[in-house]
Amino acid sequence: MALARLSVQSKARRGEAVPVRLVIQHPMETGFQMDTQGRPVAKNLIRFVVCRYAGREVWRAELGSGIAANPYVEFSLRADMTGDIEMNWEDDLGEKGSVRARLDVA
Amino acid sequence: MKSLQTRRRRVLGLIAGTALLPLVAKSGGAIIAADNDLPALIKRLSGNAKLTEGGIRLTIPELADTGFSVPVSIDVESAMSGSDIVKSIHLIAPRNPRPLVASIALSPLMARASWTTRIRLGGSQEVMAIAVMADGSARAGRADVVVSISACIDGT
Repeated sequence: MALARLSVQSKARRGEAVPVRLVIQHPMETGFQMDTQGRPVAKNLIRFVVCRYAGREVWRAELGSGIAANPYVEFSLRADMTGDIEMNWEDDLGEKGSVRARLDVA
Repeated sequence: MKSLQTRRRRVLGLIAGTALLPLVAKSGGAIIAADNDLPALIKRLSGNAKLTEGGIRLTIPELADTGFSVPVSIDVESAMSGSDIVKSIHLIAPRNPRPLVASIALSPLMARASWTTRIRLGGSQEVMAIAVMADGSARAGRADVVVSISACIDGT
């Protein structure tokens, strides 16, 4: 289970732009690197991240080897209803991760 | 003395050869080959639409000390409501081994057509972002960045 942090406020007014930040602990191995013995390090990238808010898809990102280790994403969503902000992702080794945070909209 | 030197060269050659092998094997992949054809990649991402400059801003430091982690923000001028919606944004670093850094499909749930991340850069280059709008038009934004230390160095 990959470590991740989803940083978002817990309360918002309806229609407010809510900033959301996500960071996932992951090496994002490109497959181009060698280890200390000169052997290639197997490619292991987070292939996609999906962001959902109250069950609806906000964005879906396909990531490549050009994303830095420990992927970081920042964006803002429009608060319209109370619900969970949820991130899901999967890497090349098939390891899945998710993190969620509740947003109360008044 | 001479035999020792030739042996050293042969060993060095062998090391260099084995180090290159996996790279050669990988570069034969169809996906990478297609990605490295930049005009074709841009054409594919923009859905063959003519790219218009402007209406999209790419924020990136002018000078990055290392290419391992460079903050990038893509901001597209869009209300993200009604018919003025950004369907997808794509980030391209032409000098990277795999130029397509990220492809993001957006929805009107976003308050702004804005996405920030940190990328790797394989050298000084003009980073490019493409935004595809709901009406099928496409915008391009570019920003130059000077990278002191490339992210593409051997891990050894």
